[in-house]
Amino acid sequence: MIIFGVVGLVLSAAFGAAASSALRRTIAPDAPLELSFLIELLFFTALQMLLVLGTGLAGLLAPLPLTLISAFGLGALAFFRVLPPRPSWRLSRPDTPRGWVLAGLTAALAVSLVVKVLVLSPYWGDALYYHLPNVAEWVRHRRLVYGFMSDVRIWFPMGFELVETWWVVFLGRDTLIEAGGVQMLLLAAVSVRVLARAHDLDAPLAGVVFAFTPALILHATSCGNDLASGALVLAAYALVSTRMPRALQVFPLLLGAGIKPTAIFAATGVLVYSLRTGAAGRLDRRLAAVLLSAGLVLGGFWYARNAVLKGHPLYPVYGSQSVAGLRADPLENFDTLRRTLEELPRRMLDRFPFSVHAPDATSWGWFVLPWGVALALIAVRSDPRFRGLAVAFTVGWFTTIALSPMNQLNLRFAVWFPAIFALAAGRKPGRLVVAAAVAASLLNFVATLAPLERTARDRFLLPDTFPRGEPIACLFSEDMPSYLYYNGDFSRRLVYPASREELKASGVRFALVWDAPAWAPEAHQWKRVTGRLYEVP
Amino acid sequence: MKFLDPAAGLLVLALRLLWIPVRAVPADWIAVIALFWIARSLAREDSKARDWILAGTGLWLTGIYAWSQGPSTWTALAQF
Repeated sequence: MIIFGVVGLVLSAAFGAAASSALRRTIAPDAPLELSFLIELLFFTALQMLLVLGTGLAGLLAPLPLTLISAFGLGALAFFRVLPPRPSWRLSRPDTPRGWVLAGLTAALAVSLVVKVLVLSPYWGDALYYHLPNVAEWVRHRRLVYGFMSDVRIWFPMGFELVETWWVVFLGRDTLIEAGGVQMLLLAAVSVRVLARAHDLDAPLAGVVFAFTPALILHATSCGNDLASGALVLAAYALVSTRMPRALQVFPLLLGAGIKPTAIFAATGVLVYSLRTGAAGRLDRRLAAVLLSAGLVLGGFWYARNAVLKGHPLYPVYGSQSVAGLRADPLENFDTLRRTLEELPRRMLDRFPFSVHAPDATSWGWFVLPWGVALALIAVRSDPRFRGLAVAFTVGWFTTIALSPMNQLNLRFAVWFPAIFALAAGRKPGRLVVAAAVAASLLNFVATLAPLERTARDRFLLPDTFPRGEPIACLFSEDMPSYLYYNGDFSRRLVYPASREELKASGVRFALVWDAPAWAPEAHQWKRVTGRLYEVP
Repeated sequence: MKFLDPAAGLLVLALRLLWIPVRAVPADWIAVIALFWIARSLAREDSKARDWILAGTGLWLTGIYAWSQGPSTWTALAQF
């Protein structure tokens, strides 16, 4: 079965790569190497999302249908003679010692991320509570399912979970689930390189400095969606900087909107940047319509779903059924920006270990404060084009922070922002700046090799003696990290009863009681099996 | 225009001193950045002095950052 899954995954990846390459060659045939790779990776991501969304809606979210669709797609590309003759991107050999050092750092990061993908199991809070349970339920049901638990955050846009599902559905297990985040780190780093080249900056250095930002490295394997949203924002900046057609510039922002609304907030900065950058390339109207339609489907699906099923596109934050704890007041939220700016000087000192949530810190690492801030000031003062980019970044960052609550934890909503400091490092870097960047990147690398939050899950795990296939009812009043209990191969059935009757009807014999729900206040008095696991009376 | 850059640095430093005592300036990264900006503006363009000012500031700020983040990074290093 595993071999069949691997074949399906490889076939689907080959179809995605070939189709992305064909589409890119139609839209931007003369794009240079890095820009080509960026556009193809962007299309590849969109195809992954479309495949999972389409099959998920049709009830065909399983290895065989996905493999057949991919094989058929590859056949169609071959029939129409649009298969790429060979991979359209190749690694070039570094020609200086500095190039070798940067290539070595990149290779070390790539190897470490592959090892983390293979070794780590999902561990980060939000992912376990309300992101990944969607993936598990979709794979188990072979279709998209909604509203299966009382934690209303599962109604947030789940575009990145489509990508994560693509990485797990063929194998039927979550071994590669973190690969979606690594894919997004690659997209973000390539975007920074393209942006750097468009501004005549040192692209390899800027890309390495940005990719080695602790917040980025940690987000890559966290299964959270902040990096995905940020990567698409950076892709939009990169496409604007290279004056790609407007429809292509908007495309990543539409994808981002389907991942997290923070991409929409950050789009204000991209808009400011595009106004400064001037005329964009032209694109055939039919192609532009195809791009925008695909983007609108992937970006708008979740909002349309919420409008239909919950009465408001922005449920659970807005609408008559909105939830008090999540309700947002845009005017009140501007106070978040003020408080964040007041706290930023202290937060930038990173007084705690680097982490995904980075509470009361930034996790921006050893380069940004010691070197990046000064270099950015110099670049802003002496380079009008860089100044325009910095203004756009600041507008987007301020808007994102202002419209995002939780000021102690909110810098992750704009995880793309440190790119401006990495780009500043790439402006005529002398030996000193390169040495500082390499040293800082190494420190960031070792400080994030073992993610701080990775062991937090251990205290919640069930003992090995508990049968792996035994169904479990999840009882909680607010939330619980239920993804931990599906098993890595999604073999365990979890139920989320909303009443005593639903619990009885499920026939489940054991319940994990996190905090007793209102309909079963005595749940903690039931016969305890171990930890939070109880026998259903 | 020639004195606009150092004036901007001075303004930031003056405002910062409303929040922190003078003796805290060496350990405050905003004050150090303001001093860097003043010094850099007063140095000749494209001079070696500007490089030295950037190097000194970078190393000084690395020290400030190391004071707060260093123990955590060291703990991570010691794990391997």
